[in-house]
Amino acid sequence: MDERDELTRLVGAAQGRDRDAVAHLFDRYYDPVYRYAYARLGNVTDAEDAASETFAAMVRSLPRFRWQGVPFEAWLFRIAMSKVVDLARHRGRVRSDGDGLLADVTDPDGDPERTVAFREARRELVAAIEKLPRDQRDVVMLRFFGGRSIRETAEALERSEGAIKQLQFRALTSLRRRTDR
Amino acid sequence: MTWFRGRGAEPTPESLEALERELELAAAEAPPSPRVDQTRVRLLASLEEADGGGRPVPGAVLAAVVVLLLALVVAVGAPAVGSYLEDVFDETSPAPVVPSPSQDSTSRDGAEDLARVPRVRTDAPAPSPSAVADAPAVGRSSESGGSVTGAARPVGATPVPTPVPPPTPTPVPWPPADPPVDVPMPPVTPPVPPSLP
Repeated sequence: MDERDELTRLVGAAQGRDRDAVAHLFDRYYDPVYRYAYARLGNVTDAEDAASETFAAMVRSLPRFRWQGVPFEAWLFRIAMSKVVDLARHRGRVRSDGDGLLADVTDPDGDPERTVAFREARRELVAAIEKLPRDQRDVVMLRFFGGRSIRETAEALERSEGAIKQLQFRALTSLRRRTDR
Repeated sequence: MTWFRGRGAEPTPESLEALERELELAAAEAPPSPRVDQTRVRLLASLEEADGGGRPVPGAVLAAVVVLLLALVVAVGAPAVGSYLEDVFDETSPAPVVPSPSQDSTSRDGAEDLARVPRVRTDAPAPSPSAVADAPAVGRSSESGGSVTGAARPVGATPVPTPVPPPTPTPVPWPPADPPVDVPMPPVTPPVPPSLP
Protein backbone atom coordinates (compact mmCIF):
# COMPACT_ATOMS: atom_id res chain seq x y z
CA MET A 1 0.00 0.00 0.00
CA ASP A 2 1.59 3.24 -1.10
CA GLU A 3 1.46 6.49 0.81
CA ARG A 4 -1.51 7.84 -1.08
CA ASP A 5 -3.57 4.71 -0.51
CA GLU A 6 -2.62 4.75 3.13
CA LEU A 7 -3.72 8.36 3.42
CA THR A 8 -6.99 7.54 1.68
CA ARG A 9 -7.60 4.72 4.15
CA LEU A 10 -6.76 6.94 7.11
CA VAL A 11 -9.03 9.75 6.00
CA GLY A 12 -11.86 7.31 5.34
CA ALA A 13 -11.48 5.81 8.79
CA ALA A 14 -11.30 9.26 10.37
CA GLN A 15 -14.50 10.18 8.60
CA GLY A 16 -16.03 7.22 10.41
CA ARG A 17 -14.89 8.76 13.72
CA ASP A 18 -12.08 6.24 14.10
CA ARG A 19 -10.02 7.52 17.01
CA ASP A 20 -6.75 5.96 15.89
CA ALA A 21 -7.12 7.35 12.39
CA VAL A 22 -7.71 10.87 13.70
CA ALA A 23 -4.70 10.48 15.99
CA HIS A 24 -2.65 9.34 13.02
CA LEU A 25 -3.65 12.35 10.94
CA PHE A 26 -2.86 14.64 13.85
CA ASP A 27 0.58 13.12 14.33
CA ARG A 28 1.27 13.37 10.64
CA TYR A 29 0.19 16.94 10.01
CA TYR A 30 0.43 18.82 13.29
CA ASP A 31 4.02 19.83 12.82
CA PRO A 32 3.68 21.32 9.31
CA VAL A 33 0.53 23.14 10.33
CA TYR A 34 2.16 24.44 13.50
CA ARG A 35 5.28 25.60 11.68
CA TYR A 36 3.21 27.35 9.07
CA ALA A 37 1.16 29.04 11.78
CA TYR A 38 4.28 29.97 13.66
CA ALA A 39 5.83 31.55 10.60
CA ARG A 40 2.74 33.63 10.04
CA LEU A 41 1.87 34.54 13.63
CA GLY A 42 5.33 34.75 15.12
CA ASN A 43 4.85 33.31 18.58
CA VAL A 44 4.39 29.84 19.98
CA THR A 45 1.13 30.43 21.82
CA ASP A 46 -0.69 31.87 18.83
CA ALA A 47 0.73 29.20 16.55
CA GLU A 48 -0.45 26.45 18.90
CA ASP A 49 -3.87 28.01 19.13
CA ALA A 50 -4.13 28.19 15.35
CA ALA A 51 -2.96 24.59 14.97
CA SER A 52 -5.36 23.40 17.64
CA GLU A 53 -8.28 25.19 16.00
CA THR A 54 -7.24 23.80 12.64
CA PHE A 55 -7.48 20.20 13.84
CA ALA A 56 -10.67 20.81 15.75
CA ALA A 57 -12.18 22.17 12.54
CA MET A 58 -10.76 19.19 10.67
CA VAL A 59 -12.59 16.76 12.95
CA ARG A 60 -15.82 18.71 12.62
CA SER A 61 -15.59 18.99 8.85
CA LEU A 62 -14.25 15.55 8.01
CA PRO A 63 -17.68 14.03 7.39
CA ARG A 64 -18.17 16.55 4.58
CA PHE A 65 -14.74 16.03 3.01
CA ARG A 66 -14.84 14.48 -0.46
CA TRP A 67 -11.96 13.40 -2.65
CA GLN A 68 -12.89 15.58 -5.57
CA GLY A 69 -9.65 16.80 -7.06
CA VAL A 70 -8.43 18.37 -3.84
CA PRO A 71 -6.11 16.22 -1.77
CA PHE A 72 -6.51 15.98 1.94
CA GLU A 73 -3.36 17.96 2.65
CA ALA A 74 -4.50 20.84 0.50
CA TRP A 75 -7.87 20.77 2.21
CA LEU A 76 -6.21 20.77 5.63
CA PHE A 77 -3.90 23.63 4.72
CA ARG A 78 -6.84 25.65 3.51
CA ILE A 79 -8.33 25.25 6.96
CA ALA A 80 -5.01 26.21 8.51
CA MET A 81 -4.75 29.31 6.35
CA SER A 82 -8.25 30.32 7.29
CA LYS A 83 -7.61 29.81 11.00
CA VAL A 84 -4.36 31.74 10.89
CA VAL A 85 -6.00 34.65 9.13
CA ASP A 86 -8.94 34.57 11.54
CA LEU A 87 -6.65 34.49 14.55
CA ALA A 88 -4.48 37.29 13.26
CA ARG A 89 -7.52 39.41 12.50
CA HIS A 90 -9.11 38.62 15.85
CA ARG A 91 -6.03 39.61 17.76
CA GLY A 92 -5.55 42.67 15.63
CA ARG A 93 -2.10 41.93 14.51
CA VAL A 94 0.06 39.82 12.32
CA ARG A 95 3.63 39.53 13.44
CA SER A 96 5.65 42.26 11.80
CA ASP A 97 9.01 41.47 13.26
CA GLY A 98 10.98 38.30 13.52
CA ASP A 99 11.41 38.08 17.27
CA GLY A 100 9.87 34.66 17.60
CA LEU A 101 11.82 33.24 14.74
CA LEU A 102 15.02 34.84 15.89
CA ALA A 103 15.10 33.23 19.29
CA ASP A 104 17.44 30.42 18.31
CA VAL A 105 19.42 32.13 15.60
CA THR A 106 23.06 32.02 16.49
CA ASP A 107 26.24 31.87 14.56
CA PRO A 108 27.50 28.30 14.21
CA ASP A 109 30.93 29.39 15.37
CA GLY A 110 29.50 31.24 18.31
CA ASP A 111 30.85 34.56 17.12
CA PRO A 112 28.71 37.22 18.82
CA GLU A 113 29.13 39.71 16.02
CA ARG A 114 28.12 37.21 13.38
CA THR A 115 25.18 36.11 15.52
CA VAL A 116 23.95 39.68 15.60
CA ALA A 117 24.33 39.87 11.83
CA PHE A 118 22.38 36.63 11.37
CA ARG A 119 19.57 37.84 13.56
CA GLU A 120 19.38 41.15 11.78
CA ALA A 121 19.39 39.45 8.39
CA ARG A 122 16.65 37.03 9.32
CA ARG A 123 14.62 39.82 10.85
CA GLU A 124 14.73 41.53 7.49
CA LEU A 125 13.84 38.32 5.70
CA VAL A 126 10.79 37.54 7.82
CA ALA A 127 9.58 41.11 7.66
CA ALA A 128 9.98 40.96 3.90
CA ILE A 129 7.83 37.82 3.69
CA GLU A 130 4.99 39.67 5.32
CA LYS A 131 5.23 42.36 2.69
CA LEU A 132 4.99 40.00 -0.27
CA PRO A 133 1.82 39.89 -2.34
CA ARG A 134 -0.62 37.42 -0.89
CA ASP A 135 -0.25 34.68 -3.49
CA GLN A 136 3.55 34.81 -3.29
CA ARG A 137 3.46 34.83 0.50
CA ASP A 138 1.17 31.79 0.56
CA VAL A 139 3.53 29.93 -1.74
CA VAL A 140 6.50 30.72 0.50
CA MET A 141 4.62 29.68 3.60
CA LEU A 142 3.35 26.41 2.20
CA ARG A 143 6.55 25.49 0.43
CA PHE A 144 9.06 26.28 3.14
CA PHE A 145 7.27 26.45 6.45
CA GLY A 146 4.58 23.94 5.62
CA GLY A 147 7.14 21.67 4.00
CA ARG A 148 4.95 21.12 0.94
CA SER A 149 6.33 20.21 -2.45
CA ILE A 150 5.66 22.19 -5.60
CA ARG A 151 2.88 19.77 -6.52
CA GLU A 152 1.25 19.85 -3.09
CA THR A 153 1.42 23.61 -3.00
CA ALA A 154 -0.15 23.78 -6.44
CA GLU A 155 -2.98 21.52 -5.28
CA ALA A 156 -3.47 23.48 -2.09
CA LEU A 157 -3.76 26.77 -3.92
CA GLU A 158 -5.55 25.36 -6.95
CA ARG A 159 -2.86 26.60 -9.32
CA SER A 160 -0.71 24.80 -11.83
CA GLU A 161 2.75 23.64 -10.87
CA GLY A 162 4.19 26.07 -13.42
CA ALA A 163 2.31 28.91 -11.79
CA ILE A 164 3.64 27.90 -8.39
CA LYS A 165 7.20 27.81 -9.70
CA GLN A 166 6.72 31.24 -11.20
CA LEU A 167 5.24 32.62 -7.99
CA GLN A 168 8.05 31.12 -5.97
CA PHE A 169 10.68 32.62 -8.28
CA ARG A 170 9.05 36.04 -8.03
CA ALA A 171 8.77 35.73 -4.26
CA LEU A 172 12.41 34.79 -3.82
CA THR A 173 13.56 37.52 -6.20
CA SER A 174 11.49 40.04 -4.32
CA LEU A 175 12.84 38.84 -0.98
CA ARG A 176 16.36 38.97 -2.28
CA ARG A 177 15.94 42.51 -3.46
CA ARG A 178 14.18 43.60 -0.28
CA THR A 179 16.94 42.23 1.90
CA ASP A 180 19.65 43.82 -0.22
CA ARG A 181 20.65 47.33 0.61
CA MET B 1 24.97 31.95 4.94
CA THR B 2 25.42 33.67 1.62
CA TRP B 3 21.86 34.70 0.96
CA PHE B 4 22.25 38.16 2.44
CA ARG B 5 25.73 38.79 1.13
CA GLY B 6 26.61 40.53 -2.04
CA ARG B 7 23.99 43.15 -1.55
CA GLY B 8 23.26 45.54 -4.28
CA ALA B 9 23.66 42.96 -6.99
CA GLU B 10 20.90 41.53 -9.13
CA PRO B 11 19.58 38.20 -7.73
CA THR B 12 21.40 35.27 -9.23
CA PRO B 13 20.33 31.64 -9.29
CA GLU B 14 22.90 30.95 -6.64
CA SER B 15 21.67 33.68 -4.35
CA LEU B 16 18.09 32.52 -4.83
CA GLU B 17 19.09 28.98 -3.94
CA ALA B 18 20.81 30.29 -0.86
CA LEU B 19 17.68 32.16 0.05
CA GLU B 20 15.65 28.98 -0.40
CA ARG B 21 17.94 27.15 1.97
CA GLU B 22 17.67 29.98 4.46
CA LEU B 23 13.89 29.79 4.38
CA GLU B 24 13.99 26.05 4.90
CA LEU B 25 16.37 26.55 7.78
CA ALA B 26 14.16 29.20 9.33
CA ALA B 27 11.18 26.87 9.19
CA ALA B 28 13.18 24.04 10.71
CA GLU B 29 14.31 26.28 13.52
CA ALA B 30 10.83 27.06 14.69
CA PRO B 31 10.66 26.13 18.38
CA PRO B 32 8.83 22.93 19.22
CA SER B 33 5.25 23.17 20.31
CA PRO B 34 5.11 22.67 24.09
CA ARG B 35 1.41 21.87 24.13
CA VAL B 36 1.29 19.38 21.29
CA ASP B 37 0.49 16.44 23.57
CA GLN B 38 -2.13 18.41 25.40
CA THR B 39 -3.70 19.48 22.12
CA ARG B 40 -3.70 15.89 20.91
CA VAL B 41 -5.40 14.60 24.05
CA ARG B 42 -7.99 17.36 23.91
CA LEU B 43 -8.72 16.69 20.26
CA LEU B 44 -9.27 12.98 20.81
CA ALA B 45 -11.35 13.65 23.90
CA SER B 46 -13.58 15.97 21.93
CA LEU B 47 -13.97 13.25 19.34
CA GLU B 48 -15.14 10.80 21.99
CA GLU B 49 -17.48 13.34 23.53
CA ALA B 50 -19.05 13.94 20.17
CA ASP B 51 -19.58 10.23 19.72
CA GLY B 52 -20.67 9.41 23.24
CA GLY B 53 -22.40 11.12 26.10
CA GLY B 54 -21.62 14.54 24.86
CA ARG B 55 -24.19 14.22 22.12
CA PRO B 56 -27.69 14.74 23.49
CA VAL B 57 -30.43 12.32 22.52
CA PRO B 58 -32.86 14.23 20.31
CA GLY B 59 -35.91 12.52 21.82
CA ALA B 60 -34.88 13.35 25.35
CA VAL B 61 -34.22 16.94 24.40
CA LEU B 62 -37.59 17.18 22.72
CA ALA B 63 -39.34 15.68 25.75
CA ALA B 64 -37.55 18.09 28.06
CA VAL B 65 -38.59 21.03 25.94
CA VAL B 66 -42.20 19.89 25.87
CA VAL B 67 -42.28 19.43 29.65
CA LEU B 68 -40.70 22.84 30.12
CA LEU B 69 -43.23 24.49 27.84
CA LEU B 70 -46.11 22.77 29.60
CA ALA B 71 -44.82 23.90 32.96
CA LEU B 72 -44.48 27.42 31.62
CA VAL B 73 -48.02 27.39 30.26
CA VAL B 74 -49.40 26.09 33.55
CA ALA B 75 -47.43 28.62 35.57
CA VAL B 76 -48.33 31.59 33.43
CA GLY B 77 -51.73 30.73 32.06
CA ALA B 78 -53.35 28.93 34.97
CA PRO B 79 -54.09 31.97 37.11
CA ALA B 80 -55.87 33.74 34.30
CA VAL B 81 -57.81 30.69 33.18
CA GLY B 82 -58.57 29.75 36.75
CA SER B 83 -59.80 33.20 37.54
CA TYR B 84 -62.04 33.20 34.54
CA LEU B 85 -63.49 29.85 35.49
CA GLU B 86 -63.86 31.08 39.00
CA ASP B 87 -65.93 33.96 37.75
CA VAL B 88 -68.12 31.67 35.74
CA PHE B 89 -68.75 29.39 38.68
CA ASP B 90 -69.20 32.30 41.03
CA GLU B 91 -72.40 33.02 39.19
CA THR B 92 -73.87 29.84 40.63
CA SER B 93 -72.05 29.90 43.97
CA PRO B 94 -73.86 31.28 46.98
CA ALA B 95 -71.08 33.62 47.94
CA PRO B 96 -68.28 34.96 45.77
CA VAL B 97 -64.76 34.33 46.89
CA VAL B 98 -62.79 37.49 47.34
CA PRO B 99 -59.07 36.95 47.67
CA SER B 100 -57.76 38.56 50.77
CA PRO B 101 -54.52 40.55 50.74
CA SER B 102 -52.96 38.07 53.14
CA GLN B 103 -53.05 35.25 50.63
CA ASP B 104 -49.92 33.85 49.07
CA SER B 105 -48.26 35.07 45.93
CA THR B 106 -50.03 32.57 43.72
CA SER B 107 -53.34 33.84 44.88
CA ARG B 108 -52.25 37.41 44.45
CA ASP B 109 -51.11 36.67 40.94
CA GLY B 110 -54.44 35.14 40.29
CA ALA B 111 -56.14 38.17 41.70
CA GLU B 112 -54.13 40.43 39.47
CA ASP B 113 -55.01 38.36 36.48
CA LEU B 114 -58.55 38.41 37.64
CA ALA B 115 -58.48 42.15 37.45
CA ARG B 116 -57.35 41.95 33.85
CA VAL B 117 -59.97 39.45 32.82
CA PRO B 118 -63.28 41.11 32.08
CA ARG B 119 -65.38 40.12 35.01
CA VAL B 120 -69.07 39.47 35.09
CA ARG B 121 -70.52 41.83 37.58
CA THR B 122 -71.85 39.96 40.57
CA ASP B 123 -74.52 42.54 41.08
CA ALA B 124 -75.57 42.27 37.50
CA PRO B 125 -78.66 40.40 36.55
CA ALA B 126 -78.56 36.73 35.69
CA PRO B 127 -76.41 35.79 32.75
CA SER B 128 -77.88 35.83 29.37
CA PRO B 129 -78.72 32.55 27.71
CA SER B 130 -75.66 32.81 25.53
CA ALA B 131 -73.37 33.15 28.54
CA VAL B 132 -75.08 30.23 30.19
CA ALA B 133 -74.62 28.15 27.10
CA ASP B 134 -70.92 28.88 27.18
CA ALA B 135 -70.46 27.89 30.77
CA PRO B 136 -70.65 24.11 30.47
CA ALA B 137 -68.04 24.04 27.75
CA VAL B 138 -65.56 25.83 29.99
CA GLY B 139 -66.56 23.66 32.88
CA ARG B 140 -65.76 20.54 30.94
CA SER B 141 -62.25 21.77 30.25
CA SER B 142 -61.73 22.50 33.93
CA GLU B 143 -62.86 19.03 34.81
CA SER B 144 -60.34 17.44 32.53
CA GLY B 145 -57.56 19.56 33.96
CA GLY B 146 -58.19 19.69 37.64
CA SER B 147 -54.79 21.02 38.44
CA VAL B 148 -55.39 24.07 36.32
CA THR B 149 -58.35 25.29 38.29
CA GLY B 150 -56.84 24.08 41.51
CA ALA B 151 -53.73 26.14 40.99
CA ALA B 152 -55.69 29.30 40.54
CA ARG B 153 -58.17 28.93 43.30
CA PRO B 154 -57.22 30.89 46.40
CA VAL B 155 -56.40 29.05 49.56
CA GLY B 156 -59.46 28.39 51.62
CA ALA B 157 -61.85 28.97 48.79
CA THR B 158 -65.03 27.01 48.51
CA PRO B 159 -64.37 23.93 46.39
CA VAL B 160 -66.14 23.88 43.11
CA PRO B 161 -68.81 21.21 43.06
CA THR B 162 -68.37 18.84 40.17
CA PRO B 163 -70.26 18.23 38.09
CA VAL B 164 -71.96 21.56 38.20
CA PRO B 165 -75.46 21.51 36.93
CA PRO B 166 -76.01 24.33 34.56
CA PRO B 167 -78.23 26.97 36.09
CA THR B 168 -81.71 27.01 34.85
CA PRO B 169 -81.94 29.79 32.37
CA THR B 170 -84.49 32.25 33.38
CA PRO B 171 -85.89 34.58 30.83
CA VAL B 172 -84.27 37.85 31.38
CA PRO B 173 -85.11 40.88 29.35
CA TRP B 174 -82.11 42.07 27.42
CA PRO B 175 -80.87 44.63 27.83
CA PRO B 176 -81.80 44.41 31.49
CA ALA B 177 -83.93 47.06 32.92
CA ASP B 178 -82.24 49.62 35.04
CA PRO B 179 -82.44 48.68 38.68
CA PRO B 180 -84.73 50.83 40.71
CA VAL B 181 -82.91 53.72 42.10
CA ASP B 182 -83.53 53.94 45.77
CA VAL B 183 -81.73 57.04 46.72
CA PRO B 184 -83.24 59.12 49.47
CA MET B 185 -83.94 62.54 48.24
CA PRO B 186 -82.79 65.41 50.39
CA PRO B 187 -85.60 67.06 52.27
CA VAL B 188 -87.01 69.97 50.53
CA THR B 189 -86.61 72.98 52.69
CA PRO B 190 -88.67 75.99 52.00
CA PRO B 191 -86.75 79.04 50.97
CA VAL B 192 -85.90 81.18 53.90
CA PRO B 193 -87.08 84.66 53.46
CA PRO B 194 -84.39 87.19 53.86
CA SER B 195 -84.41 88.56 57.31
CA LEU B 196 -85.42 92.11 57.54
CA PRO B 197 -83.24 94.49 59.39
